[in-house]
Amino acid sequence: MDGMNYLSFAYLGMIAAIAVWTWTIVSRSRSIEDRLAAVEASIGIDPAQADELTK
Amino acid sequence: MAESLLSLVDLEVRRGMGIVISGFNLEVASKDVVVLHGENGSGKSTVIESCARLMPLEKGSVYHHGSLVVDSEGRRNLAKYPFGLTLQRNGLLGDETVENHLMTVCALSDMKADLLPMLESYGLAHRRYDRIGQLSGGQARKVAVLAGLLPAMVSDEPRLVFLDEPDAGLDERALAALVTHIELLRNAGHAFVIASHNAEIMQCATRLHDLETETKQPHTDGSAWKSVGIKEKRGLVSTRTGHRYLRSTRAGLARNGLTALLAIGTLLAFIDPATIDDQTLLFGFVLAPPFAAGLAGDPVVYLMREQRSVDWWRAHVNRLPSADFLAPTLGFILAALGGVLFLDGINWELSLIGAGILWITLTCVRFIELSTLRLARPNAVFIKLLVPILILPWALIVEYAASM
Amino acid sequence: MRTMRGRSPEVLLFAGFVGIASTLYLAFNWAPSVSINAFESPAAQRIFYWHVPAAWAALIAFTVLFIGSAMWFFKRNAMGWKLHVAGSEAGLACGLMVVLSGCIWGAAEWGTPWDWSDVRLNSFGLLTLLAIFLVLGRRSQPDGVETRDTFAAFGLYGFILVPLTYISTRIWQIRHPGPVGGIGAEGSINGSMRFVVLLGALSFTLFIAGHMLVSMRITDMEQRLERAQKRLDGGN
Repeated sequence: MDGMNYLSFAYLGMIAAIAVWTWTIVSRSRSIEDRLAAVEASIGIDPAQADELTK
Repeated sequence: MAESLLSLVDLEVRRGMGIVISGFNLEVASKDVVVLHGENGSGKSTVIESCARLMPLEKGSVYHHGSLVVDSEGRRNLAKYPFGLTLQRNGLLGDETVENHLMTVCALSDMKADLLPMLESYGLAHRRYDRIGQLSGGQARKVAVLAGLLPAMVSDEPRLVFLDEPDAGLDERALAALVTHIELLRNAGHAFVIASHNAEIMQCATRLHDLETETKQPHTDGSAWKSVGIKEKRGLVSTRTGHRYLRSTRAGLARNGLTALLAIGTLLAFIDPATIDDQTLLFGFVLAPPFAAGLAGDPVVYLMREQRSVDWWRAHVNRLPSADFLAPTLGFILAALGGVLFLDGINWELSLIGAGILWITLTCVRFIELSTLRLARPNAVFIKLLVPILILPWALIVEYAASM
Repeated sequence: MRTMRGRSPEVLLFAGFVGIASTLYLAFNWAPSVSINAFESPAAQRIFYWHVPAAWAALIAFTVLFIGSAMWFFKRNAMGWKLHVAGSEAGLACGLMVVLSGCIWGAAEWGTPWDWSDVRLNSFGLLTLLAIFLVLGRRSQPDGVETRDTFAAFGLYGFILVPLTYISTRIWQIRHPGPVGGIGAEGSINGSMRFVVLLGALSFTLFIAGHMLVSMRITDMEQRLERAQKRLDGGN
């Protein structure tokens, strides 16, 4: 394969991969945010109580 | 005042994200039978496992016979005297025979004993030479309970015995035998910490503890157990046990040997060694099978994952059973075979290097595997993702060997 | 409704992504070609504009991973665990980019995508495998001190690989070149090349910072969700 074509495929593949990755993180964040809001609202938890392990 | 056999001082232990026990103190003297009977999740098993040095402590320390065995600073010393332990899961290896397992327990106390009377009292005499894997769940539990009692049964001196839910799965006859043994051994001066809700076992208690408050129960001394042990000093129990496991299961050959043979077969399927002049490449072919066999990991550790057997061993020894001698022997044979197949004949120096490669690789993989044992689901992590770290050192050794 | 400040991790992440895309565009269309004599595959050499900044970002992520691991392992610091999680996830993302781009370049330039005798290549590959191990392993376990202690310990084992990676091209120059364009070093790249590399480094730094902040927020929310669900279960 010609050098520039090889490079184009590599670049397009990498850009696509990083776009998918970015989208995955953001959608994971949104999904858990929605679940958390629903559960916390149902029991009236104070968000400040999160991760109290070190106490 | 009787000698303190066990001291738990200001114990704090976590499981998961929560503190299970905190500020817990307990003194256990000779002739004490402490029965922990708190509700589920109150920390009974955590106390037993802390006593047996299986739990890392957030705070506090554990002493056996006045000597520190584990503390929150990470010290973890061997107990001065052997102790009995029955975990909630049996800690047995399915490929061991009943007799071999119990003899190993005796050997950890530097003792031997005629096991037949004890086996008879639990209805196990006819199963003496059977593999534990062939027993029913209840029978296997009896073996685990008897293994927990044995260090006290073979000793003239007071010993500690930790039993976690020993009654679970026992039939009436075995439960009666257990209660009798607890009474007799207590009268002989041994001490027990038992987690149980069973009414008959609670009757044996001199102290009932719900992990918050303690109630004393009056007890009168009756007839005492007479030790059945005969002194027999046998060193290297871990090593001998590891190799007995390997002999009885052939796990070393099935896992490591087969992996190496597959590597050789794969290489020979595509390569004609006679057409290759590159010395480094040929040496790589010779040393690849011992390396592949090492990457398969320690077969004894693999076997001991069954039924928390590895935890039972970790409580008793600092050096777990392993495939110490198998590794260099197999490595030597594989590299010698590689010499015949890929070079002009056996290259003795290369065979020795092969022995070293298999031993070092296996030791490293074993270290990584044992590092994950504290996890709730150790089999769910992908240990093999980390083993490529060994490929570069292997490649450097091959290059070095070729340049020699 | 979240404020703009609350969304700043996502803003950083997207700014980084746009910057990376711009870097690649410039690398493809603007950066000068290298001498045809210096490389086997001069075109594939342009992967360098992706490869080097990604390696820089990965090293930031792995450093955060090791700092977080140490904070958890020695001090049981809750922030340390969040840094461990964020560092391992971001390290995985950037590590994969470095290794994949390296393989693509290696296949064109060296004729082989991987060389087991190159120390930097291998140590970076191992760091990425460590990140995969940590991310997958953590997801397979319930959260708890046992899980955190074990994975923080593995994070610390991996620490030796970072300085090894850094010094490896200075000691063993097998496949990888020595330092390029370092401060005070006699760089082997010219001005416009350096501009694209620096733009890439800045973009990847923004991306990795945003990634780690989002990861830390996810960890925080997962812990809150777990607590809330335990309350719903009726536990403590």
